[in-house]
Amino acid sequence: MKDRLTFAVPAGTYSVGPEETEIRLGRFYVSAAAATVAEVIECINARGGEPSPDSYSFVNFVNEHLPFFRKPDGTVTLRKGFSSSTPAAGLTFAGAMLYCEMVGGRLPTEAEWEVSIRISQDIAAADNVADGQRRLVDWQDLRQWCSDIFHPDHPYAGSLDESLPETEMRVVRGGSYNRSELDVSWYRRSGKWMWHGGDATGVRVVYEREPK
Amino acid sequence: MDSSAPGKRNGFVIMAQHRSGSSFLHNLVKVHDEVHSINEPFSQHILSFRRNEIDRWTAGQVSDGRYHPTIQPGSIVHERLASLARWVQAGHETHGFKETLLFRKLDWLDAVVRPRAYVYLVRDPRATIASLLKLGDVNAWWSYAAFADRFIEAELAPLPSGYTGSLLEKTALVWNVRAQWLADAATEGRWIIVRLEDIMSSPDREGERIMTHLGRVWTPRQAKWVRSTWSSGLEQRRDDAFSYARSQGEVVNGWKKAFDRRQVSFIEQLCGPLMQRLGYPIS
Repeated sequence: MKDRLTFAVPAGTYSVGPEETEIRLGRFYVSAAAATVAEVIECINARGGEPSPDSYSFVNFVNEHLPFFRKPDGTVTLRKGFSSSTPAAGLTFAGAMLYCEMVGGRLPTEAEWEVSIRISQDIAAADNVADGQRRLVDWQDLRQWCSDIFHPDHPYAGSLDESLPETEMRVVRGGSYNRSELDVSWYRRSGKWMWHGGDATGVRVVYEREPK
Repeated sequence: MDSSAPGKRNGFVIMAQHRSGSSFLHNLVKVHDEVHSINEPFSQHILSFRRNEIDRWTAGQVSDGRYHPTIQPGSIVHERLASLARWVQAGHETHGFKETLLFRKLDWLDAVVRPRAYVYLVRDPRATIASLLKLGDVNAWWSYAAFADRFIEAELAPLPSGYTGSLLEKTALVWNVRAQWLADAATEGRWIIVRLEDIMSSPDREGERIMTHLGRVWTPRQAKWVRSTWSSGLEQRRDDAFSYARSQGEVVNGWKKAFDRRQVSFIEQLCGPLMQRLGYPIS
């Protein structure tokens, strides 16, 4: 199982957020685009599919406006009328975690997500950008899960090593054309119930080392 | 099942029928920094609630350690309900959700989730029905024709005079039954009824009323957000199934172009008593 193209984010101290909070990050690699429907289906099925017919654990197969369909044996397939190559919306936090684990990576922290998008914009704005790299800037296809526990007054907690109580919410960053033009904003930050597989939330992967 | 602890109530539930502006209101309350709302955690998450709209569930069916006799402790549905109830009750912020089903399970829902406040969002049935018909008989889950047949079979919806079984008539019949369930529930003190048309015409007044009911203030950001959804450039999105961008005029008056006089007369005859109760003038 292999995730797609990645780009490197160098180790360094980065300023994030409106208050320019300084955060030290090690070098990491981030996938250049959100996981596709086909990639997610492959991962879920490699782990045995969706365990329950009543409700979902990893991807939302209940909402017929999403591309996932659960067969009686638990296998997840592409719902009729949907494309397998589009960015996958409808993952829960558990589904996003599972996908990252299966491709050998992990979810980005909120700070990693934000630094990645800033760097990807620099890459895309450069004069000598290869066509294939231009899509690095396309972070607006879906909102994306981050690993941080959501506390509204404590952004970047996952990178600042703050000790915060567990909640049922995780950070989601970015916006999505799936929702509305009004939603599209890379600095948008919200908290999402962990078991919600919405029509505008997907996943990207962070790797500690460059994936082979 | 912490949520069943006596006396403890927090959070909110927004209830509305399809095509009544529930996504719009759900997103409007979420613009507030301290309000979080989940989109349809039952009807978009748990299949058994979609399959079973008609059965009435009550608070008496919630017992120590069980949410309902049909929901096994330890099952995935039990776990999701527990998580949702914890989430609604949690924190110093305001958590809640909007839902477009469960209208016959509100007593049960109240015992499971224990929200502090309910909002019944309603839209003129003529506009709602016009909007539903514009989408067609949507899909297997939202088939108003199938729902109407089920309601008739269960004797929840007496057949009105002149009933021919057209899709318009069936859609009106379903609206009327569901609206009756909601309007009856909304007489309780923790409910307010909000008309979508009033949000359109007086967003600040209605916004303040809603947010006060949720225990929060109406913020300038919310006022700005409402107006941003009326931008002319977004009006073409109003027919999207779940778009919250709306043209004010279309929301209030669009239905007048959709129906002939006989069709309007049928809807008003069937839904008239509820329309009057909800403050919608009959033509």
